[in-house]
Amino acid sequence: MDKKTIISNGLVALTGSPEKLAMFSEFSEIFEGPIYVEAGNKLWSVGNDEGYLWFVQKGYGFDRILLEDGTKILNGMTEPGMFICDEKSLLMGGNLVSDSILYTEAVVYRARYSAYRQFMRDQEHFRALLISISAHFLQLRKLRLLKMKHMNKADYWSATRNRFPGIEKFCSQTEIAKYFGVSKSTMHRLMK
Amino acid sequence: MRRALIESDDFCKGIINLLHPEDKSRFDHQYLKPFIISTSVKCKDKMPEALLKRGVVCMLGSGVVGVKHVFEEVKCLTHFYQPGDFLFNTEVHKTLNIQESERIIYDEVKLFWINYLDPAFKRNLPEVSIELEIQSSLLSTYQYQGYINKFGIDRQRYCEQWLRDNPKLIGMLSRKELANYFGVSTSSLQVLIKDSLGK
Repeated sequence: MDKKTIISNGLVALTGSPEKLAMFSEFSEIFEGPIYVEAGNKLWSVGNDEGYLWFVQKGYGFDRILLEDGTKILNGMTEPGMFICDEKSLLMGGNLVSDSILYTEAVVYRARYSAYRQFMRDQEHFRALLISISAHFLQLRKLRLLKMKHMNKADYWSATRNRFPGIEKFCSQTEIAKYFGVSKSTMHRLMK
Repeated sequence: MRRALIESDDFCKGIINLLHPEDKSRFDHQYLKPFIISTSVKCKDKMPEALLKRGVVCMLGSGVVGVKHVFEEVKCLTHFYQPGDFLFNTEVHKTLNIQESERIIYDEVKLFWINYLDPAFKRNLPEVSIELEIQSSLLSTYQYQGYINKFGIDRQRYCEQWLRDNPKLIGMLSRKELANYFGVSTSSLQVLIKDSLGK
């Protein structure tokens, strides 16, 4: 499959659009790639001054965000079919405040933030779709917050381990505990 | 500490501050003034339909709004909006609201709002309309990352500090709601209250 088809398919899945729209192909044009990344490499790092919106065709990984108080926490997981970026930098400018590391080999595409913003300015119909895209990511965030607060933690750990086999090899117990919103001792007990 | 009173001028400046830094300096907040609407909603009343339309961005001027979602068939509180906070409508979008999220008015609110997709707004401030459309869709998701981080870093410390900072709000919530907000049992809540407030 070519870049247009791969990224358009990703947008169809995100927006729930019944078909590949012409503007999806136009959007894919702002991306460069495919870029092949070996396992263990970073897509981006804290302090980088140039931000990209990434589309992941293949590969798994994690991103960690550096908070204002100096704490670095596990922010999200990278999976095929996802659009990922350093959100804070995309929204508010400035250097990147997160890292994204891949733990398998990956195939990705990337678009400069400036290209993304210009595309959105020019494409009124695509802007109207942003609410569907945003709602998709928002319901994932809501679910994470709700699971963190209310889901049985043994079940949550079991589901996470099934979704990301080997997560404990790539993230420390402290990081996973913060991701789950539990103490380190509770996490230790769950992981036994 | 939060400011007790938010005025329309704060809202205008806040709207411009939502824009990307490259765009902020291009727009004067004074131009927004003719498009600001203020609405009051009484405790327990529903949010007016006009405020739930696409293109609406609100700032809470006074009062408290809580947000509940359905999770495993139980209504769960995840956060509160207090004066100065922005409300983005993707959170409660009618057809995309899988978690059936709803806003509850805990204390009579005054809201300042604009609709950047209103024809008059688009005609007079076309560039601001476009930039707000791009930013607000992303900000609604970004806001939730903040709620996640607060609980993830150190839930106990966060809950204890929250109890100390929000005496008025504690009085508006039942113990069951408060325990639900913290994601703890009612007995654990008692310990949290004792440790933070000495009660």
